[in-house]
Amino acid sequence: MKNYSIWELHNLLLKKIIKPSDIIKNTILKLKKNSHLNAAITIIEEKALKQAKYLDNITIPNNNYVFGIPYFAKDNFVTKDILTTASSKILSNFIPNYNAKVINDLSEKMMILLGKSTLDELSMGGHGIYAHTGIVLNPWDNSRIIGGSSSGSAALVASGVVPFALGSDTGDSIRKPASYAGIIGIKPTYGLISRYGLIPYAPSLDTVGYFTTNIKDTAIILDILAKKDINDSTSMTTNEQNYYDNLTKNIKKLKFVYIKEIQNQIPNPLKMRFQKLFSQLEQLGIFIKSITFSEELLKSLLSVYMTISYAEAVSSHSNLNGINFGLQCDGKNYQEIMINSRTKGFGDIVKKRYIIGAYVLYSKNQKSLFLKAQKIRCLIIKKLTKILNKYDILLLPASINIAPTIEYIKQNKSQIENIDNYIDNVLLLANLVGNPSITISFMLINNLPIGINLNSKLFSEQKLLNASYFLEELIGFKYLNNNKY
Amino acid sequence: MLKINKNLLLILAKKIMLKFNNIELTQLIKEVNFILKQINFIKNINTNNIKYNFYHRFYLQFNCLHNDDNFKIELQQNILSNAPKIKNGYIIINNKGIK
Repeated sequence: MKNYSIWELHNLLLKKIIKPSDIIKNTILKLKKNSHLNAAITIIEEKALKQAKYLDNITIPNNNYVFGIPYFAKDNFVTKDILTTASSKILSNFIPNYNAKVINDLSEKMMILLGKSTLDELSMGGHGIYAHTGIVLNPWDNSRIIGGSSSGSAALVASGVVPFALGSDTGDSIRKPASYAGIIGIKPTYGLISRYGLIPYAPSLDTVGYFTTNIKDTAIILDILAKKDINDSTSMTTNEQNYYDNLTKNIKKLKFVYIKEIQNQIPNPLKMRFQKLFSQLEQLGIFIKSITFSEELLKSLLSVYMTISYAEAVSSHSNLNGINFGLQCDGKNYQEIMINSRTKGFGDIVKKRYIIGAYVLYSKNQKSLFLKAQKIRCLIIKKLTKILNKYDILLLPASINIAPTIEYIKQNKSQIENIDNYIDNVLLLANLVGNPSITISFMLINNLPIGINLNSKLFSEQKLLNASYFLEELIGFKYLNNNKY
Repeated sequence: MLKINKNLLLILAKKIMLKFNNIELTQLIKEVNFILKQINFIKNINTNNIKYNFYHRFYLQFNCLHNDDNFKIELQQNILSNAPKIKNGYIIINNKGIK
């Protein structure tokens, strides 16, 4: 069986060419074939097959496009009676007794959870090499990173194992891997999808999102997940509904813009590809214009992100102490147990971020660093909101190059978190502002994918999906993964 | 310029309940100082007259009353599956000395 999209699998099920159990059996085979990627932490083979066999005898409800379709969830979504580790040693024995809201929503639609996918420990890292279970490999080239933190989910969709996987995006954790993997990665508006049951990293930035192989599937999933949840105090309602039904390539009225300061710094051949796209849009009579953005604010993105997210992380994870749940180490008293459990339970990257978070929150630094970063965040929000209110779609590079090699990342760890490379950090804009943002495939360099990123104003997902639907066809890289696997 | 030294690092480590050996401390000081150099950039940006004013939607939280009629039944055994063990009202912790 080839690697089908949600939409294609749905049609095959409708025509009774295949049954849900056929899909699951085939997916398990593909999963085993791709086990070297190290993308799955837990596989729920038996239960998934049992569910699928039950669905074999049920009539597909009207307009339920995801009936019997398997998926993976990033291992930072809690799942009832299923190991949930967040790829951290400190949660390596944690079995929750409830489901995240999104897991329940997908289950109600009779999607089949086939397993939990690897991530950078507690969603911190960005390269897909910091899980307690090891490095996740890029299916396009196993010597390269897939990016992170939603590394396993990206690898499983890119390798065609599943047509959809859940992820979370705090600082480009879905949209950057999507670029390196040649797939779609969406981070909707902050508050559109419930975060209930998502193990937090930085709650003011954490957003639930996902990977698919095409925009139709992206819209289908958003129709299921975009709903207000009383259990998430930041969850909000939107006036938009029926994303899939309202999907259209008729986007002639949309105004596209790109940022001059960023465009000037993009290296070739990516820059030339962008210029070609701008010309194509112009020729089609679509509004495309360059705008300016404060370079100082662009340079501050990484610093602001690090200041806020690391501070929130050290606070959010104070409950990971070996007493209430998770890994517990020996000690003479409860303080020693906590210290020993945390010291043994967390990896180096996480500890480093906690130290910086504690430094930022240190009483004498709170005003000059933490509050200062929050004020700059206000400036960034104001600036970008003004642009997105005036224009419809902001185009950005999803990454400035193809996926780096694992060796390169290991050797240049310290140089990577550098504000001088700010054009590789521009996806942080959408995390700090909260607007929807999506990465779709854009080009191949040395036969490896690289994406383009689209942004729109808060709660304008329909506009974003329509623009992406149009560009997906114009660019011509739909189902990119299927060409290779 | 923001900088961290061994003493401050040990103070912070204690606050967040972590411990490091000397080799780790040396490496950490180097790596943290590199990041702090990046973070220092925010000091260059003029934020005069900018109020940290609950601008972001994250702070627009709402409060609501949960519906008491919506309840679900869960086995006590499941709910307590991750809970620490208790004896005579105290949480039981391992007390075997540091390994």
